Amino acid sequence: METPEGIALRLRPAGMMPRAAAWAIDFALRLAVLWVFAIALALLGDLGVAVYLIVLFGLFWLYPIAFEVLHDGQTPGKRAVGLRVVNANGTPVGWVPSIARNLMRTVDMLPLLYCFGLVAGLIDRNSRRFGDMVAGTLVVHVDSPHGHSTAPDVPAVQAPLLLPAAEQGAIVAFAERARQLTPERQQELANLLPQLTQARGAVAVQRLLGMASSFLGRQ
Amino acid sequence: MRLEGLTVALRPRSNWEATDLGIALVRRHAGTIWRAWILVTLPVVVLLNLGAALIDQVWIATLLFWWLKPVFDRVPLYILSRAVFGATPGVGEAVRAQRSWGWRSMFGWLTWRRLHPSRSLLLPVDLLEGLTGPRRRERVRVLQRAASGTSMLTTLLAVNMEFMLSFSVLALALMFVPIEFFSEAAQQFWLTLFENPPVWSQCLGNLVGWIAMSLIEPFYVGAGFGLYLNRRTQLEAWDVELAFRRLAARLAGTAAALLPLLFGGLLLVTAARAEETAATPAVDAVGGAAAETAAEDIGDAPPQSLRRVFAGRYLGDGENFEQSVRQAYADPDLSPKATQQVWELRDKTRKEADMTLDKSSMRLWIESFGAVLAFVAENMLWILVALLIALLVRYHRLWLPWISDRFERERKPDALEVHDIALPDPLPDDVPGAVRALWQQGQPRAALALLYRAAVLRLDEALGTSLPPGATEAECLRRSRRLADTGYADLFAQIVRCWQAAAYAQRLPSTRDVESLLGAWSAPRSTSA
Repeated sequence: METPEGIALRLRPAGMMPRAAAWAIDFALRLAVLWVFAIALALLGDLGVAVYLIVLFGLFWLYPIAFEVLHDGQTPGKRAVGLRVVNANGTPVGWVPSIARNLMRTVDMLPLLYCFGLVAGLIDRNSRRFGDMVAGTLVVHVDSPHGHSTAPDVPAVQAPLLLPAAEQGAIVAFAERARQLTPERQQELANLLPQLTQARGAVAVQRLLGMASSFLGRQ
Repeated sequence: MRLEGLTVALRPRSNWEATDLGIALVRRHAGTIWRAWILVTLPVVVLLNLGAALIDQVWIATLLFWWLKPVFDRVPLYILSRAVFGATPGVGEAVRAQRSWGWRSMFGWLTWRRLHPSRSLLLPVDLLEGLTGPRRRERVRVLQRAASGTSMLTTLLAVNMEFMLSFSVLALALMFVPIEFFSEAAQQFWLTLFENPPVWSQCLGNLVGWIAMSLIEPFYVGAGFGLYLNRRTQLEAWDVELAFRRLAARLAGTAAALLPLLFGGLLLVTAARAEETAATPAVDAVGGAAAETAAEDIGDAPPQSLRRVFAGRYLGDGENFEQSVRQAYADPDLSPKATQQVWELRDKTRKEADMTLDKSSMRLWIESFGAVLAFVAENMLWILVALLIALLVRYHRLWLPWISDRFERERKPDALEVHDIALPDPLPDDVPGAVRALWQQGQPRAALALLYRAAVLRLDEALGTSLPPGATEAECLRRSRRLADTGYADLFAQIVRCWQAAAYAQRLPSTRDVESLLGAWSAPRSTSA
């Protein structure tokens, strides 16, 4: 996906496992709310039944639409799992697509328990159920805000060569993830680049980390 | 195994994204996986059902087939683990490999590890790495540290999806029953499948279960394999290794004089090793719960109801029927008396009074509130209707053009005063005379137009150039400023102003003005002549 400014955006469609998890969370939430309402409204007799039916309708048909349009494409379950509904071109979802994709649940539910939707989602490359296909929407992964760890703060070492941005990125990625690797694995990786480090073993690791610091603009 | 051969784009992913990666892999190699799957599982399911049907204990086939899942999981895992490095095996190769591949770890997976909630994540550890003893335990611990939650949830979801699908397949059959036969068909359905199923329907149930399992299980294994790949990518920075190798190759290419470099390659150990037997058996709450519900679903059918018993002989008994109805109503069994024990409040009178008061006041309040709400809503609706009608009346030409087309007379446009201003092409010799004549005939526009034309022509003559066709009055005026003869330039400006006022503003000059113009017209001509 490319914006008019020429920035490439990567949309990562979410598969059936996270979507099912999000749906289960939403379902449980709605059941809980409904249960509380049921207890409160049981005291009101027939009027209570009427209100209860309205609440039931709202919770099962309006809840996803309202959250998707007004809450950044995320129902509480989707937010918990890290998903978002967007249009196929990556723009935020509006009223019409949201209503379409949620009304199409009646089809996805057939013949029982979301069978058609599940099978469609497993077969489709972008994991779209029928509602998504009709409305032209996608469910995508949202970047988790805690994804990145920082590179260790070591004195900067000047790289002996000028490297293009992608290769600098690889070295910075090595530094950022060094803490998750065993020392042996760190050295193994650093030993792959003797031309850059002019060393082997722990010294090579230190030099690579230093280069990452200099690429990140530290002193 | 060399990482250069990887066919997936590695990057650190979130756990859920990793399951999607695995499912996408399964989808890409779907043809191979399902063909091999059917070739391996279908004979087993048929043989098991035949054997169990012979001894009239079909549930054994259900249980055994379900229990053997880890064995069948090897089929998609074998194909995926090779396909991910670019060496996708053929169907035949995959099926043949099932005879020897990965059996050593199966003992554990079929006994104490059968209900492990993270089966899909840990199967690759045994089948692809073949670790045993403390090293396996360490590996499992590290792998599970960040991925166990997702892998357990995946198992739970897959179990549910399988149940869902098998019930859906049954419901799909019911969907094709016409509505007038529906309740009868559903009853028969229930009887033959769950209440006292004959052997064939039990086998059919197993077949449905096999279909659902075949649909979900490869995806489940794929999701676990995706988690496993992602976890190893995190732990061993496979993507960084790939980038470093590319960088090293580029540097080696640029520095041609370097010694041949030997990279310590990371080799994945794939040979299966001896089964580790000391691991603690895991108790699977998830799978256990699901299994119990399955047994309950089949075994614990509700008691037979009267309606079901009399379903066939209910209609058309006439007199006998009436009589039996009377008899039945007279029967004390029909209106039985039973003693029921309930808890009652001790301080009954006060509490009850309070409660009724409470309830009635509450009710009153709610009702009055509802009445107000209804009143407001009704009137708002009327106001909306009125607004809609007003808007329609105002904008019906715009919104509903067919109404105005059909029912309203076309509005006549304002009458146009049409003048014949076509003039004879050549100018008359005596321009002032002709102008005067037109003016007196009551055609002031034509008169002024003639005058203007003559003036423009004279301007052309005086300048010795010709104006471009379609020149505006302003352009003519601008050009007239080049005249050496300022007297004629002033006259031309006056004529233009007169003409413009008459032509565009319908402000006609008085006869005296016209006369003075015509006088001026003749005068310079005589001097210049």
